Amino acid sequence: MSAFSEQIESQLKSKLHGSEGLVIKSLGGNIVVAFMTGMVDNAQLNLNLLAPLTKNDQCDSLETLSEMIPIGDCKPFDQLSDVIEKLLSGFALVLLKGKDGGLLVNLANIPSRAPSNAETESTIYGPMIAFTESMEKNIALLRSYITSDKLIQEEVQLAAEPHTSASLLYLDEKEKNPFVELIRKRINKQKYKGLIGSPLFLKILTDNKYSLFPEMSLSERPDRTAQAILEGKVVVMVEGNSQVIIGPNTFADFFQSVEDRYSSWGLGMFNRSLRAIALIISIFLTPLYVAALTFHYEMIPMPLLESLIMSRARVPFPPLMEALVMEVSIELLREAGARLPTKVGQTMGIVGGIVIGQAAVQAGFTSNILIMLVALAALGSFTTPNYMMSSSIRFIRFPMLIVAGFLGLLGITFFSAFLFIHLLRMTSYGKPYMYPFYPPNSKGLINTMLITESSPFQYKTDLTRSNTKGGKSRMTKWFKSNDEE
Amino acid sequence: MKVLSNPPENIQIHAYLLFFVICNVQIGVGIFNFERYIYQASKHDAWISVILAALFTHFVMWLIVRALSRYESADLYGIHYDLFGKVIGTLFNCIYMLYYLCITIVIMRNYIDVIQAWIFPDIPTWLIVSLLSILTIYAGFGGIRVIIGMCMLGFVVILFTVFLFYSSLKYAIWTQLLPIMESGVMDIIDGAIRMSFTLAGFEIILFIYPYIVNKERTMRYSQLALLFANMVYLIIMTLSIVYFSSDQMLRSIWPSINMLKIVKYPFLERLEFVVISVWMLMVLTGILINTWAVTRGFKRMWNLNQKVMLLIVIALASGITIAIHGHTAIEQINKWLGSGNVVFSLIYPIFLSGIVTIVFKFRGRKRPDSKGGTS
Amino acid sequence: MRGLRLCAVLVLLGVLSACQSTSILERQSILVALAYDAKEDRTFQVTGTFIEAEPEAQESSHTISVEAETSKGARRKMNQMLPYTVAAGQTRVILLDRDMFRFKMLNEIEVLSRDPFFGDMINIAIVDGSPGELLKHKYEEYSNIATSLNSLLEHNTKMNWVPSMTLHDFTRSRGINRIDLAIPLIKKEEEEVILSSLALIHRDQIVGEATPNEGFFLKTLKGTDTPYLYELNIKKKDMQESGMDRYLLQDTDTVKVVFNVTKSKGKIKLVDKKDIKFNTVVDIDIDIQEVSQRYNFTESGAINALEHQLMIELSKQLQQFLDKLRKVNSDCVGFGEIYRSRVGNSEVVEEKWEEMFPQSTINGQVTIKVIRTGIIE
Repeated sequence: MSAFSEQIESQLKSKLHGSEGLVIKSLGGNIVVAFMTGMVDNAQLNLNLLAPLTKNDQCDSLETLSEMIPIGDCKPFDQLSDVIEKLLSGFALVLLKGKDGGLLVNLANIPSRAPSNAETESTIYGPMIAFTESMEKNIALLRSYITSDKLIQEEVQLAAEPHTSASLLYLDEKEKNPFVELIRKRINKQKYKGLIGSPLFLKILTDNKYSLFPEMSLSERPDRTAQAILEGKVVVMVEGNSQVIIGPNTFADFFQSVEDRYSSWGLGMFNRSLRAIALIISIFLTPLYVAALTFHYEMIPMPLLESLIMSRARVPFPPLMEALVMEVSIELLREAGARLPTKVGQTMGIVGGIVIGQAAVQAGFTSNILIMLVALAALGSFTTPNYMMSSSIRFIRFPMLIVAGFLGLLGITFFSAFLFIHLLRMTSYGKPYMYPFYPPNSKGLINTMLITESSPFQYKTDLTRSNTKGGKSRMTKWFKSNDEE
Repeated sequence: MKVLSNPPENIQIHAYLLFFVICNVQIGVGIFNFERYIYQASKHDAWISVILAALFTHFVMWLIVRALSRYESADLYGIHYDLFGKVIGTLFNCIYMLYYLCITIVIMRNYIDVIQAWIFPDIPTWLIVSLLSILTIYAGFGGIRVIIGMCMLGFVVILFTVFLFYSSLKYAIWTQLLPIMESGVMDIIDGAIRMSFTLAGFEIILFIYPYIVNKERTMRYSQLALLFANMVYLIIMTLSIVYFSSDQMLRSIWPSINMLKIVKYPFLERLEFVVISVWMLMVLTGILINTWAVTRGFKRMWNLNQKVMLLIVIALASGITIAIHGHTAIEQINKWLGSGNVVFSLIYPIFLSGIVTIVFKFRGRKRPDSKGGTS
Repeated sequence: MRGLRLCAVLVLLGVLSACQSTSILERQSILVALAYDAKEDRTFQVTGTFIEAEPEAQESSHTISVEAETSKGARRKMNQMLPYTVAAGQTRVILLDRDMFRFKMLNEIEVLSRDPFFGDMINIAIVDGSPGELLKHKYEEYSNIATSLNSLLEHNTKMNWVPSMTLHDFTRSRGINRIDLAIPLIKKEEEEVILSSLALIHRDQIVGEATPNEGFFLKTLKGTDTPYLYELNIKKKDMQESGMDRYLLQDTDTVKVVFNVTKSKGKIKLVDKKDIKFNTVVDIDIDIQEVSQRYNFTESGAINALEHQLMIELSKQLQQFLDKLRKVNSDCVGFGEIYRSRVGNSEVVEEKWEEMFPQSTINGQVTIKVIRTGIIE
């Protein structure tokens, strides 16, 4: 043990506040190598770092030292205190006696998994691969879809403690991407503590923290992400997260699955319309039942009337209570299913659904017509391809149900109007959320609904790139972060 | 205050959105019972009255847009300052703001009357007022873009409602339209004047004009919107003439809703309940645009915060609305405002465009000085 | 901003807690059919059939009757007899008896349309005998007489000769003199309810009846395309003119012809304004279903002869119907309306039409086109 190595050890130990795991290896008295056990690749360490250094331990400059090490990522540094974070993320430090600073050698071996099939956004056609928790791999995956020098990857510094690294990915075109600056600003607005997980990151980026609907979408699919980038959107990748943040998004974007583009033109259109209908069903069906049974019995057609009365005859609660009980039990099933391991969850969902449904009807707890409606509504909400959106939809069903139970159709109209206003007020990175419905854009609408056979090949950027052009595109310039007027 | 108003670029709108705005101010609660008043005057020739009134609105609209186009980008508040100076201009502006406040109240009260008569006989007035107020405040805070967005939604509602009237064709006796021109010319003109209560509102363009990006298209879209609204009125008027006997028409208070009573689907009947409820959206857009015009006045003249003023205006309107009791009182107020409508949205704009033409002849140049104070 | 949000939430809570009276479906006695039996002292017996949520009950419907002076009074009394509040919004059928007309008590029916909860699509029918009894009787075949009645009237209006007579038609025609009412007549025979004919009304009085065949003409003349199965007896001696007898393969006195009217169109033309002369033409396309005797369809001219013969017979029937209308002075087709629309002077026509109508001349003519003769020649 040389004095030099002891000096380095004490310095590093104090920086690490006595944390264990630091290994200091002295080579011939002049050279000291420091690393954290378990975080470095041992094979590389021995073969590519320690072996060449032990052979020539009489070296006098960092440059020659650097030349000896057959590792690509090998950079000099000045201050020992600057590189503690690097040391902790799997770099090895090589220090030379009598010199300030040293070399930073990347030997990191962070545990990670190989890319696997997409789970939350599974499809039948198209690529199956999903992002993993390693940002490097994710970027590589994305670049394999867009092999172009126009795809810019930009590291952003996050004002957070502990440090989280993130990357912005976007397409560089003639115009400047308007969102990159916005995202940088939002990230650095406030110093956050512990930004672990991209959903948390997403919250920093939202325009309106009180909004009921998600403004940006999370995706684990590289093909979806690549498509979004081609549409001029910006992707935020957070280290250690398999889900990337795509924005700006419109309301319609949340109801689109990548598969729509892959399937035949008519089928894609059909699927999208189906989802629109499912949206309406899941929001309005049970409230309409409650409103009709509580206030507007006149509206029920004759053939339905008798069966409705018979099925309701034994139910002791008012329709609102009945519907709430059923909706809550469906939510319970869903929540329980999500918390349990996949296989147990599935069985529980099916068994629970059938058993509870059957028993509830037999016990006179609820009418069988309502069971059907509630199940249909739940099914409708699950057709939404984006899980965040589908959760939002399920959530807004409850206030809708309650106002329907108190004010009937008037209440339903009131809350729908409220939702419409909310949606119209919403922005995503300052862009109108309801685009292309409002501000209306016929081409955008055609593409959204996949009406023509060429629309699957269109990557419309009129929402994202409209600031420099004059004329019609001024429409989408609305909602720019000012609340005045 | 400056005569010209130049709103920030990012809240300017395209002329075609004007179409939705004007459709929505034109079609409101009036659609439920306008045919009755006209029928009283011109019997089965009421549809001629509607056409007559419609043509007149097109003419007035033409005058208004022409007068506006003489200024680069001015609204009525600015024009008043320019033409009449600060004191009289302010007075005129205040009268207009008061008028819009009254319209807001009348819209609210009429709608509540319909709800109380048809759906919930025992619902308290304040309850619906507060529902409408919450929505108005929420949307109004979003600014003119949200208001116009709601107008687009309102347009969809209008379209669907008009399609529902299709069912009444089954019961139509078309000969009831004949013989044409049996009522005297004076009766028909009387009917056309009665139509004004329903047709008022398009003069809102006097306030929105500065917000339009491509002002050269204003004329086209505003006239198209009027055409659409007038067609809707004509269709409903004609359908009610052939659907009802004169006796039924004169006795029912809301003939349009009566007509919807026969709409029937295998899964839903009595669509009038749905239509009345959904009509809340139409009422909302009407209230939104009118209150916006009022608060805009505060902003333009005294540079007051529009949000704060909106709260005050809504509180005022709600208070007065709640204070009005009974159907007869509402009828009375409707009558008063009906004559107000003729003055404010038909006669005064004609007069105004005359003055503007004369003044610009006299000045002999396009742009006025920005005189009339600053603030 | 935050204060405002809080305010909105508070107001909303207030709104929701402003309890309104609800009308929960199974907490209502839902009125489906109403029957009025008029009495000489201008009161009536009102009978109502209700659907109620009684899980233990045998039948889904339940009929009660009360004596009352007004409809609203009847409702109040019914409320005193029923487990739940009377809900009128689902009323489908209103039955009247002949006395309602005799004692001129129809205003009570019209008053119903003042209540927004009554629909306009309620079917109205007259009952031969007591409508209250008709509803109250426990039928073996109908589990719910009210809904069965409703379906009976509904499908016959849609697919058969019965002209539509809803509350809307009722109030519309009652308000004016130039169109009279024709209300379907039903009667109870033991365990059956039968739609028998049409009652022709003039000034709130039943003045005559029309057979189904006449109902078919009436409906067609009113402008509705009416599908109808027409049965006709043709006497041998009448066949000379058309020469139809030549194609008959057997020798009989009468031939029964049954045909299906696939398309019908009625036209009414005012040919003389001064003397009030109308020409009415009924254009029908038919599909021969049955000829009681063997008829030689294959021979050329056979179909023409049949067509011609039917034309003669039907024209005769139409003419008879029109004459009957004039005789009883019930203008249920609406000749008055056509006259008014052509001549103008609406108020005078409205006033005087009931005197003018019996004096008018109306010619009836039917033109027939045989589209098919079935699938066997």
